[in-house]
Amino acid sequence: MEKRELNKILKRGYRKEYKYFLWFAGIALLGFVLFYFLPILRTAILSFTDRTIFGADPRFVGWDNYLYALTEDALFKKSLTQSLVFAAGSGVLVLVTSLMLAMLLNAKVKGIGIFRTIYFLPFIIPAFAVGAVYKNILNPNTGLINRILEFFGVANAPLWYVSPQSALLTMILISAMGFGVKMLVFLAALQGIPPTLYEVADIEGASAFRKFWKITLPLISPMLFLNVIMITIDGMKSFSLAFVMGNGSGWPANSTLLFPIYMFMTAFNMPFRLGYAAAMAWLFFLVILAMTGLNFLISRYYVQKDVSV
Amino acid sequence: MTLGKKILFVLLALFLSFAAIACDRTDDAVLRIALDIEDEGRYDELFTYFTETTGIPVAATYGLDLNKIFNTKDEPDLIKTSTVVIGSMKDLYVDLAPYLEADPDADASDYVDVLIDALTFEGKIYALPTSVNTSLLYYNKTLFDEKAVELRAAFGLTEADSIYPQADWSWVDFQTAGVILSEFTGSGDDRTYTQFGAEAQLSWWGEWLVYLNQMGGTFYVPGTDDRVCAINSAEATLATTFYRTKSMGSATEKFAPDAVEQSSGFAFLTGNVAMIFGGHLGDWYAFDVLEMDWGVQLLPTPVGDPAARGGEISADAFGISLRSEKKDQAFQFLKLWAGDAGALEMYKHGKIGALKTMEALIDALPETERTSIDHHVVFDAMEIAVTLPAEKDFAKVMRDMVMTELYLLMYDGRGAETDVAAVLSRIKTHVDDYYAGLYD
Amino acid sequence: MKKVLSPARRRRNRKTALVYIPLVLFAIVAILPLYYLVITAMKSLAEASTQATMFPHSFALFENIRFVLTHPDYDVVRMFTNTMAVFALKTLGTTITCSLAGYAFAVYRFPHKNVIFIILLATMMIPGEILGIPIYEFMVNTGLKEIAYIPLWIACWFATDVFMIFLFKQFFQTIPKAYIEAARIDGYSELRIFWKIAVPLNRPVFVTAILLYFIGTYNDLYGPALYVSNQSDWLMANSITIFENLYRSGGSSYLVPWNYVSVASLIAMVPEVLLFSFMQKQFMESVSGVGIKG
Repeated sequence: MEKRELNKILKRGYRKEYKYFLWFAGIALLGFVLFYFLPILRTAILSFTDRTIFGADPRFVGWDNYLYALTEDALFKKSLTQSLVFAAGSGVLVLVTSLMLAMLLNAKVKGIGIFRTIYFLPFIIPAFAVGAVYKNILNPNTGLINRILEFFGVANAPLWYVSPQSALLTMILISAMGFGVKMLVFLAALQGIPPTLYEVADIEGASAFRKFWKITLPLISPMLFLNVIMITIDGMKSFSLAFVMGNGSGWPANSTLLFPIYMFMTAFNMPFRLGYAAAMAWLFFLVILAMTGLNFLISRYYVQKDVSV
Repeated sequence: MTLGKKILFVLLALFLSFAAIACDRTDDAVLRIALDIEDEGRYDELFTYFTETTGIPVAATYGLDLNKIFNTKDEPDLIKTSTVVIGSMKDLYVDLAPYLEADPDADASDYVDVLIDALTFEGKIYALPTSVNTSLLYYNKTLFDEKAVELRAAFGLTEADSIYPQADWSWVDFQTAGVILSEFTGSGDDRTYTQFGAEAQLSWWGEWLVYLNQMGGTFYVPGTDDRVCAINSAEATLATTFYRTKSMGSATEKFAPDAVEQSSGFAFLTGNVAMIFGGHLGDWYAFDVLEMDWGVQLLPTPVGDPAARGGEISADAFGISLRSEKKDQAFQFLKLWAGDAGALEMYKHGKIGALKTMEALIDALPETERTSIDHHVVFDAMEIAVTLPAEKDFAKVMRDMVMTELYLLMYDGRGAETDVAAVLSRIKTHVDDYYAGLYD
Repeated sequence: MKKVLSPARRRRNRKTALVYIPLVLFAIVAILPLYYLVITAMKSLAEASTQATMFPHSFALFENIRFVLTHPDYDVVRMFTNTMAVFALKTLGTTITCSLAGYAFAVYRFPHKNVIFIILLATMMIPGEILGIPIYEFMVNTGLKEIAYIPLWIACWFATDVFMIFLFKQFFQTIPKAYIEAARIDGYSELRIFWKIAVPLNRPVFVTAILLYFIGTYNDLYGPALYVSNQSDWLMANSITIFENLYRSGGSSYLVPWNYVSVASLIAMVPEVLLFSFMQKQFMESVSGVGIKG
């Protein structure tokens, strides 16, 4: 009897919250329908046709586009694999770099403001300058890195972005410069940790590692999760770096051909197979969806809900 | 006021003032044409002339992506294409053949035959060519002059003879001059180059395909509807070997950068490479901007076959949109645009029209209005050039399967290839598999 | 007399050094692209457009600046004002709608809230190049394309930036539920709780959002290239493309005068750097002022 009463009250409270939820998030749901769902629906329809960008009347081809991608298209597999490798490598690198830099920038030392501004620079500098600098430094013949390696007597210095064997790896290294937003998010989260917590830990004589493990990490875990998701998606969707590095076509020898580049080329280069590109977009969407779902599952083990300090 | 409120206030003020700005609408009576971004303002006189003579206003948009404006109400009446992409775009266009037949002043035969052929499918003419691109050998006169003595000695030339590339150059002559024009320190495998005789085209097919065609090879097996690759042939092996030796050979053979060297800033434009196979006449502008002293010549040919055809010819072209509501007016304009008046206007900007009479038109111009380049060479090159296969996947096959594999031959180090024949037969397998798997 | 440092002081000094060494090392890496931009801005046209060396052989900085500033299409004040207008519209829309949506996802119960959220997240993964086509067609065919930059900012008023929703959600999730309950008991309306408790507690995220949007708007090349055609409507992004396309002459490869492009880029970066230096102070203060969170 009492329990039922309680449930009733709870339900009424819930229903109120449902209403609030719709008030607050309604516009987002509307925006989703207008700007994503309807275009996606159109893409889905396209993916069952052989529509080209300039084609007049597309023909319905059923699952042919999907079957072709999965069974015949060698570059589909190659570019998808490369995107997965890139997302994993660049993801780890960006995550570590951005967290490390955010922690450095959170230090209360003199002149930290200037450092914050400097660290922010790669974020706003046009891609051509970033690309040119790293191509310079990593040039197999004239670059600084190989000169140093030569000086230390390394015989077979890497060919970096010139060889199809190492180009993807080189691109992963360069992608570490994309720490900008993630660093800011971490910094914002670190700023939210009250210094008193560390002071208490200091009094207790906790080591730096312990403080990081027991205070910092749990308290920033919601932001860590955000960044892990974003980095995964960014890595999979990565386009501009690969476009600049690979001259828009996965140079050298398709070794930097990431999936979004291949999809873009399929739709917008001859013979402009828009329908096929739409099918590729959908398959790609499923891959990322699975990865994000997996991320959400894993997050249960490290994200602290309701981090109340 | 707190800072937050101040910011909000400013933002709101901006928002309100901005929302008041109205748009300017385009007039629906005008004829619309979409041009490239660099064309802005170049042809205004021509548009005014057309409007004055016909009463039809013309509006051009510049740099708009055709991918996007197609199928919207922004779609222009006249749409640009080229002999290369027409196969993928032809569904957009009106058949011009009836218009050309009905018009006494215009005829398809006014245009260079191979170009109009490339724009014609089953008797339907989808576009008229406006400006030509063709393969030429470009050379840097300054670098040649520096090596005048050596070049004269090697070719047995007198003081009166030109040391620059000649129309009858063979591949061997090309290589001889190239090696003389290359400079390096060290010897054996430890050479460090500071200058090269020629560039190597590693990401564009324009050089390799020329060699293949000149050797008498073809990319597709003739008669297979362009579905079977033919490059396991002896001709292809010879052509590719020359292409590779040029970059990877010994000190007496090598005169072009390999992939690694090319990444360290060796280029014709930089001024440290003496010759280049160029396909695009638009490059002229860049050479002039950099104040280079340059010239053009016909491409070198294989030894013993001076008449070999191989250079590429293509053209930009314009057609009338199927959705245009002003097709007759659009044709009036197209006639002017692809005719003498348009060609002469484009010539001012370094373009060569696709009319058969173009050479005579230029010759009739006063000396001061002619560009510094010997245009007769361009027309001679056009004579012996060939168009690309019309197969609509050709560009994709070249980009994704051919140039990528050839690249593996062009650098030293891990993962590199040295066996030309093996690489070619692998490419053939890839290409054949591609066509076999294609479902449409 | 030799100064004797207390052990605690010495430990702190060592710690400071430990912070500075990596700080400086990373700073060098981070500053290299800027260095490259500056030296490219110094090079002459011939050098800059053909050689990507790290040390300039020519010095033409002042000529380059003069060339850029006197270029007839380069109306920097106008382009900046236009950009600020777009920025204001985008930022206002996004911060309002996304913070509300983020708050809803963080605080309220709703059936299958998490599934809805994952679907929202998933939508942002579909590459914009493919989805852009129908949206573009819609904008052109309804005539909205040419009116007051509508295509550039309208989506922002519908909370379409899922990253922002996510960002706000993650921050709002850290608000102790007890505060909200307490406010409800005090008779606060839900909107008032949001405005009086959630927003002040999370000021850094708003500062971050504004900063990200400033940079996003400022450096967005794709949107303006697609939707802005009239020269009087040009945005800052166009100030760079003017010079990139200066010597275009058909074809896909053409000469790019990187020296002018670099000068234009450097000029364009000034407001961004100023804003960041200014904002980061706000950013820090906004946090230190929040006492109750601790």
